Amino acid sequence: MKFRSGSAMPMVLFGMALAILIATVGWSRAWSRRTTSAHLSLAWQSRLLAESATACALQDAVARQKQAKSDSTATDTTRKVKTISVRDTTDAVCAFNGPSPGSMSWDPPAGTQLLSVLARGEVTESGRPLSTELRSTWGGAPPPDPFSPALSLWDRNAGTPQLRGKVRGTVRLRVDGPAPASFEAQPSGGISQFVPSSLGSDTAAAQARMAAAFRGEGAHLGGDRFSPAYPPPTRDSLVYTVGDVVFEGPLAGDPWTPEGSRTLFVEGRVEFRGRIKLNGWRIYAKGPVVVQDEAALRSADIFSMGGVQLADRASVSGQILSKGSFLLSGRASLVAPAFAAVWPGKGADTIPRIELRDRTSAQAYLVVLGGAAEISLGPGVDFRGVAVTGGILRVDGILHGIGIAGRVDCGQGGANCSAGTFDRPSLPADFAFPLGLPGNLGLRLVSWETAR
Amino acid sequence: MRRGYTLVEVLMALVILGLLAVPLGYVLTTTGEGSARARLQDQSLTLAQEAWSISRSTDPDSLRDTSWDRDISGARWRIVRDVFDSADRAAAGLAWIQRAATLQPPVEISACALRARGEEWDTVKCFRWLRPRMRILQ
Repeated sequence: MKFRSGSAMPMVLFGMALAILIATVGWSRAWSRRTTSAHLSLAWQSRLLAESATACALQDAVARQKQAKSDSTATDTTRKVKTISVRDTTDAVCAFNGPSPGSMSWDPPAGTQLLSVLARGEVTESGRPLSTELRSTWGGAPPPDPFSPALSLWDRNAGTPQLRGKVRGTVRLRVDGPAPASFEAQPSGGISQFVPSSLGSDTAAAQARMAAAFRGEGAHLGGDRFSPAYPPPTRDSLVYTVGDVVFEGPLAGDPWTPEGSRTLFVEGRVEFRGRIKLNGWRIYAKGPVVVQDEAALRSADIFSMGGVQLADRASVSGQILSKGSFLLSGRASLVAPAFAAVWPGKGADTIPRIELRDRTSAQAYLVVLGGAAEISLGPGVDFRGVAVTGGILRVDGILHGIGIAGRVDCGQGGANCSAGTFDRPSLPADFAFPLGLPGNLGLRLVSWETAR
Repeated sequence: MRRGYTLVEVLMALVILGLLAVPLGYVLTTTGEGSARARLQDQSLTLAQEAWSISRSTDPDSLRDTSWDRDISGARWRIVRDVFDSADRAAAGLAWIQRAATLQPPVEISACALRARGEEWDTVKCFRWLRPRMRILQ
């Protein structure tokens, strides 16, 4: 039998297979690299478009600013500077001059004290849209001096305050004569320099918007009760007259996160319960707004004519404007960036107040208007920020930041009702001050979030 | 026992080699071009991001048309930045600019990455974006 040991075919086939393998691997790597590069390039363009939309939203909001009248209580003329005060309208125009590489869009900025912007950029990749969303919050940058003391007081009648609490930082006191040795004299200005001048126009605009919505054709008579099984309509604007509206997430498991943001007008009460997460919602209510259980509202814009309550482990960030009261209890939290303002309700016995009880926490700028107003921080409360009240500031916990009060006398025999701690050095440098403060130096980016 | 290949075997091997050589050559060429193109995309993106970063740290009213050169891996690159402001838009006759007396539209910026080819410049990639005109504190 004859056989050969040197047949060429297996060797040739092996060589071919090897060449094909090498070519395929090389092609595949090159192809994937090309795809990755192209994707990165488009993703960057999409992000630039979203940033452009943010620019448009901001420009639009600030172009509506009006120069506030000079502070009538100020005597120091060097302090008279412009105030950025954004009116609450939604007129927007912006576009590219050259050929647009894609499309951009933005929601009209929510809030006026803290601007919350949701902007999108979109390009097309292989026939499919590649979209980038940017959510940003913008605050003001007021001059530092008025905010440098740990505590500023305007109490003319109480004489020298006997502070029972501990103060880390200086205390500035408005007195007729020279200030006592341990206090700085308040050089000028009143509490108004700590109150956004646009609060009045904010509330007026919100009420006008509510009235128009309730009169509108889209108004739904009666309330509603939403849950994961019965989600809210996808319309941008939801209007309910007379009735109450409840959002009820599950009590355990993954939270319910309805997609998109809505503007909700409710003539009655609004309640958020269970595990629910909402982003960028605007809520206008004639009745109270209650956020409880583990409900979480981010970049929210809440306007209530009946008070706002946060309870249990609920949390909110954004802007809250409320008539009458704003109460936090349980382990509820006000998450930065946040601004909350309360003004007096009707009736002589209605005391406008912000009250933080139990183990609540807050990082916020709080304002309560009115001579009888009160901000109360309970013993277990962790507050970081600025608390401004025309009336009493009662601190039994720790205030990390700045307290500004019209009075320190609680009227119960004590010269001072604050037994807690004022800790000025703890205020973060990039703390979110509202835009509408007199002396605002410009816009400051407070938070920035990208989603793709 | 005989060693070596028959003529038929050699011919068959040559035919198979010939059949596969063309697509293989094509694939290998494409692969090289693809890699080079991807590298260009990456480099142009890096340059555009540099232009964005520089423009971001400049006051919007101080932004001007400009260009600057870079050497990357032995290749010459140029970044060309064009700035379109409201005056340009007004000149272009855009209707909405009529309202811009108070609106103050954002500044539009275009950044193109160009690569040298001999004495000429090839535009590899351009990006456009808008910057707000207001003062933003960092």
